[in-house]
Amino acid sequence: MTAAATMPRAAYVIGVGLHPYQAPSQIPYTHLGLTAVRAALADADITWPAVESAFVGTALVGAAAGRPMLRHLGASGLSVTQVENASASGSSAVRQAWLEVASGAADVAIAVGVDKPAMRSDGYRESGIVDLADGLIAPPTHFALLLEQYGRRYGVSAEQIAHVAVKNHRNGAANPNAARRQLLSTEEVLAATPIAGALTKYQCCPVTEGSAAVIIASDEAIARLGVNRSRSVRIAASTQRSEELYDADLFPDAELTRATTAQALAEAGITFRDLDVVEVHDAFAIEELVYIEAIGLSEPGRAAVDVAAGEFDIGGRCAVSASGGLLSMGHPVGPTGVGQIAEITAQLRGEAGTRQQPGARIGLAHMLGIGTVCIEHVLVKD
Amino acid sequence: MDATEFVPPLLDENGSLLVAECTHDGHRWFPPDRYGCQRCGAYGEDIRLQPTSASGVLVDSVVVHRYRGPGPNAPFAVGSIRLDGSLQMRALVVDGTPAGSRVSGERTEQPDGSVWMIFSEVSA
Repeated sequence: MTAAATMPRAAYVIGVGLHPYQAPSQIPYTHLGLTAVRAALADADITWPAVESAFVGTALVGAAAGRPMLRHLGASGLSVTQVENASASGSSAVRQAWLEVASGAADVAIAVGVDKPAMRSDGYRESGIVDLADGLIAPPTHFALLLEQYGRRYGVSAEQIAHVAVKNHRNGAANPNAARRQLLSTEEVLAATPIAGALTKYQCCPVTEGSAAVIIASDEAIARLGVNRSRSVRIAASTQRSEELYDADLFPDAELTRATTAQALAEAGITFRDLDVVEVHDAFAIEELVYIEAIGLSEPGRAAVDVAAGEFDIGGRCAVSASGGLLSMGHPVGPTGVGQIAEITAQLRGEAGTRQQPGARIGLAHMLGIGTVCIEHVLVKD
Repeated sequence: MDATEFVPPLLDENGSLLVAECTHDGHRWFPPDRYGCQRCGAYGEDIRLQPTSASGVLVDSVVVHRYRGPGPNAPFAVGSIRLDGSLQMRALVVDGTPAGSRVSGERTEQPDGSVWMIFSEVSA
């Protein structure tokens, strides 16, 4: 375990930037990524030569996406590493950048998430193992089955679950970087094109492209480079775990989230009650509910009621998916975990505009990658 | 070297499911493989195959509205099935099969000529 408290020094987010998430286009990934990196450099008010190490999170572009993109900022000779961890690729890039700075290996590191959708294979499909429904159970179906299980166990209706999509689209409508900026009623969510089981189009994240970048620096670098310390946000925990064996009636992604959260909160020295903003892997609406419960923010089976009551709205006791989440902001895969850090940083700085959670000081970002891995970061504004 | 050395077929010649069982700790799983037991790490010849009846209880099912690939045409239903012996897996089911009902699977040819096991309700 690499706990933040055991690392030689603290590491801070000093700059964030995005290329808006959007429907797939002819724009090359290089432009998407460079836009986000330049925005992050401007936000930190530093120049490219100050960045010593880059981690490029991408799952779909293919091999060697890093230097062909980053050389256009100036071929500075910095360390470049590509990171792939499925949906959590960007979160892994952030974690690797944090590890380099917190360990003392680098003073300034950048995590860049960039992707364009493409039909490619994955480790599961190439493992040689097939099953009776091979290829028939795509992610929406996997989570539609979870929705059935959850709804039956807790007596929660499809209408109640649809409130997640209503909330997240309302948040995303106020986010200029969101792909699906559209206010929706519960009725509109339920009447939309059916995908699998009770999940409709608006309860499934859109396929998008985009980019996000986060610059992480040490105290020494903040002083040396003259970075505005009042806008820096400390990374209080960076935690990663993978799936274990669970009983058949438990949902593996929820159990994995529960274990990862316990470790992340302990590393940060806080409890779930301290969280002001949380970004979760809400690729499908039902996921947000089970992760809210696994994090501890709702009692088992209560998350849908709490969402409907506005407890996780912006202005509620904890803003969940204030960015719009994967459902509205989009899930371009590589950028998604980096974009969560950008959103929480904006929230903790008090710079989130009309999406601002009042008084936000502590945030948690949560991503899963098929396999399954879970990565969480806790950010604190000291 | 043949891939079936690591990944045995799903079914035997009688249509029974081939469930993997670890001879070290008794852990069972489906679909079978000999890559290694997720509980203890035993592998290869330490994993044996047990023919198991393709029958159990339907836990949940959903209709897949969108699918473009080999096999059945959408819409079709898939479900979670708890096999006799508590192992749980997923497969095609006949749409409308109530959760909690006893089901058994039969190999069924699809319009594209591929063969899939489809579970349907059986009388108790």
